[in-house]
Formats: sequence, structure tokens, C-alpha cells
Amino acid sequence: MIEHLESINKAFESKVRLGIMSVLMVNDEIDFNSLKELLGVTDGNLASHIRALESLEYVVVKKQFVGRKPKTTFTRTEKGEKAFQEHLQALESFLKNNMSME
Amino acid sequence: MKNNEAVEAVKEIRGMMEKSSRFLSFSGTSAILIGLYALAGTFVAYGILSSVKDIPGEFSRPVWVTIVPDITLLALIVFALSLSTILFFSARKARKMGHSFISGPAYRTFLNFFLPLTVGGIFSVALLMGENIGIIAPAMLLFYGLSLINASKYTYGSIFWLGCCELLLGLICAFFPGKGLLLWSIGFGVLHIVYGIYFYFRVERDSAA
Repeated sequence: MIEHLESINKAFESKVRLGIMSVLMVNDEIDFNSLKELLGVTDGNLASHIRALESLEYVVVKKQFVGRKPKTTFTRTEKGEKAFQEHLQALESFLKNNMSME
Repeated sequence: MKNNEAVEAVKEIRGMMEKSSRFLSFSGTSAILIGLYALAGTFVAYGILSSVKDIPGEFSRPVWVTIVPDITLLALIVFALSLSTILFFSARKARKMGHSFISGPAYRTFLNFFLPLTVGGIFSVALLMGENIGIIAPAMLLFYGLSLINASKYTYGSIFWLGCCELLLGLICAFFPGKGLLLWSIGFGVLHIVYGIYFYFRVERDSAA
């Protein structure tokens, strides 16, 4: 029981960060506005969560210009992918254990 | 961590993955409507077909040549009407759910649907010009089925099964020439209505609740 709890990743306790990683697991790349709309959060909120994930090296932020407009896109890193999968597995076994105890 | 927190997290992950990778602004009502257009179209086509059978002295040229422009125009009208209905209802649903209509998944769905469909359309024109009239109906059903199956990966998975039904009808149609109009009306009319009703009760009502 204890070891399952250990692999529950603190970085994914926030619903927004969990959402960002979920989206990035099925999309190789997503831009700031689409992500904002999907998650239903404000600019500032999304930016701060992205910064947290970036400092953990779970996501890469790419800034480029399309014409004259700046466009920010995000991709997952291998480290982020692994962390997310471990988190999922931990959730899964946590749920399995709890079910069998009931 | 409590049990329901973990369940919530899993739900959140699933929801986000679905929402970000699939085009979900599809309305069952539009499927029912395009089924009705197709049935009305078949009805008119049947009238056109039976009218030429009685033209005397037309035996030197195959009879169908005289009705090709009418039938083609009819098919184009039904297609244009269907396409605008789908787009209108999808845009409306997207607005209701607060999504933007133009999104990555929407773009992928339309690309993957129209690529095989356009090939099928051009192929049907080639069949028409080569006077291979008998296999136009099965070709249209087959290409339409393949387009649906191709697009189903980016939208509702159940569209895969609609595509399979169209393929089955297309194959039956290929083996029974002369039944083209009947099978066409089942494939583009009845199947759409049945799917639209299924979608309305199974998917739309559940997600609204």
C-alpha cells in the first residue's frame, strides 16, 4: 500500500497539471490557446502550471512567430511521459487494492 | 489519497484525452436529416429513371445517357445539402458546448473523411465517363464506407460500425447489379436515419444528463 502512494506523483495533484499532461500524451503538440480552451483556465493560471511542469522537465515550451503573431506550443518530454505513465500505474494499482479490500 | 480522488483523477485524464484528440461536435439530428434527404433524392431519381423507360425510339443510344445530367445534378444537390446540414449542426453543437468549431481534431476528422471520399467521387466520374454505370452505386457505397472508417479514428468510434455497414451494402450492391438504387437508398438513407436515432438516444442524451 505504501509503495503505491509513493509513486503517486505530487506534480499531478493539481487538476490543471494532470489535464495538461493528459492532453500532451495524446497530442504530440498543442498551442497555448487550444490548451487554454480545453482546460477552461485563464492565461495566467495556465502559464504558471506550464512553468511548474517545464521546471520539472516534463514539457518543452516552444515559441515561434507565425507571421507577426507569437505562437507558443508545448510538447511532452520523455521524462514527462515516463512520469505520467508511472502516475497512471500508481493510480491503477491504488484503485485495484482498494477494490479488493472492500 | 482517497478512493474517489483517484477515480476523479482517472476520469479527468480520460476526459481530457478524449476531448483533445477527438472531434465531438457531431449531432445525431443532422444524420437523421441527411438520411431523409437521401431518401427524398432516391424517390426523385426513381421518378426520373421510370420516366425514360417509356421514351420511344431511343434504342440506338443507351437510355441512361439522356438522364445522366439530371441524376448528376440531383446527386450534387443532395450532397451539398447534406454537407451544409452537417456543418451547420456541428457548428451549433460546438457553440453550445463552448468549444471552438475549428480545432485540431475537427481538422483531422475532415481531412481523413474527405481524402478517400474525394478519390471516390473522382473515380465515380471516371466510371460515368467510361459508361460503367452498373458499378457506380457500389463504388460510392464502398468509398463512403472507407471514408467513415478512416474518419472514425478522430471522432466517435461508433462511426466505424456505420462505415462497416456501408461497406457490406457496397459489396452486396456489386454482386447484384440493377439493385443499385435500392441499396443506395438503404446505405445513404435508412442507415443514416438509424445511426442518427441511435446516436441521439445513446450518446447525446447520456452526455447531456
